[in-house]
Amino acid sequence: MTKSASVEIDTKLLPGRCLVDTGVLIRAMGQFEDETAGLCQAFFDAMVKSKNKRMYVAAPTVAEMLRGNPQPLPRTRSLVVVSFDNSAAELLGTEIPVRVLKELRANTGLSLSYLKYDAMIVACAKRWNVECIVALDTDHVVLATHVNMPVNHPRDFIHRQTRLQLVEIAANSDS
Amino acid sequence: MSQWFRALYPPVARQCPLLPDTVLPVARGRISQSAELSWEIRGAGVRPERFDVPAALGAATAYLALLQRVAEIRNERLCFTGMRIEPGSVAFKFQVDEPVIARTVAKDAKEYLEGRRLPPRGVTTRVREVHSWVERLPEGYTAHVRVANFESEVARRGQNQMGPRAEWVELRIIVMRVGGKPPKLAAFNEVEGGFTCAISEEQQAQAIARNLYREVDMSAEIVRDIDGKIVDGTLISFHEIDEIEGEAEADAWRAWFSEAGGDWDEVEDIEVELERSRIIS
Repeated sequence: MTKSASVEIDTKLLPGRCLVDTGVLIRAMGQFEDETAGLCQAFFDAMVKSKNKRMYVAAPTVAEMLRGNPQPLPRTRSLVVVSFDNSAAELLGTEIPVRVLKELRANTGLSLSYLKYDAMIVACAKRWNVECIVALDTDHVVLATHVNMPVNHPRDFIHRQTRLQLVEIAANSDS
Repeated sequence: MSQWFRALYPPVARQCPLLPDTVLPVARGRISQSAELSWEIRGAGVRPERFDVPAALGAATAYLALLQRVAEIRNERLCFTGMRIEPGSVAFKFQVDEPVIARTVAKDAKEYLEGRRLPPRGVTTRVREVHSWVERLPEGYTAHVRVANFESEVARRGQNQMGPRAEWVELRIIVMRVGGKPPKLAAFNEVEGGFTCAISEEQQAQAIARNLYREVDMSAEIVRDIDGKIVDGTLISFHEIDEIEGEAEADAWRAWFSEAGGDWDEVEDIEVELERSRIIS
């Protein structure tokens, strides 16, 4: 078990290989504070500290993160940047065709250009054969079903006892 | 017939749940020619009393399942409800309820089997099964399909396929071995598996050899076979991995982001900025 920002992560629940979405990763970097930032940092720290766990970051996610002074990407054991390559492109074109994206645009009101970006991240997850995508928003859930890819929220890895305590705190604050 | 047919190839039977359990084949030529799909095994020495029955039937049923899957993709339904054997040949005549649809999907299937078009989701497995069965046919045997004026030989894997394709990849690999003249790198990647590629400079070979059994990030120009396996390549460059772990690794990424993503400091709502849906809290 590892503890970070008052959130305990159960390392036994962590995936062996996952693709981390932009929202989770930006929050995990520690410069941003909101209600899920502590959870994202705890998840990230737990993955880094665990042996034989690996986080993949899709190249399009790196593009989203880069805002400032471009620096060479660290090359480390636990976090691997994976490319959107030929295989990922074929996978995207055949398994998440534009028809699916247009349906999603009609249902969500999100722009097609944004959805294409998101679909590229999901295609990377499938192409690099991860166990799940770790994301906070709902968009990946819909797209990921097209490639049979589970999507987990970082809270899915919270230690059970902590989770119960959080539920209790939430219930008490409601009453 | 339908019972062995269901047992041999459940996907075919599943799409037509109304197949009666009683014997179905119309073996006395009552099925009209236009409502038949013919699957014929040809080759030197192929005779009705002497051919590899499991391979021939297995290939035929895998092919029918492929057609049904392609029909599904097109929002069509295709049923095969009877079978007879053309006297004096190894030609199975399957009664098909929608010969026009059968012809259309057979044309699509031909392109998928020949590798001229990428199969859509759910079809790839069926294409592999057909290839796998057709490959079990004895040397010199070929399978031919005919339906409603469409006729084609069923392609074996590699036959008429688009050639091997080259691409540039960036991979995290384990250096398994470096050696030989000219030097070669044996590498392993979690997704791609094991492969070898050429190293064009001796100096580069010596440098990467210092990382034996360690991970490096490599850029390479590689060649894949029709199944997508890396069969050849040339190492372009590589980068060593920082041997940092735990907090030091997390700190390295946070230090990178504080510079490379510094402007995110000014953002109030990440999802609004990324144009994402609201987060699930």
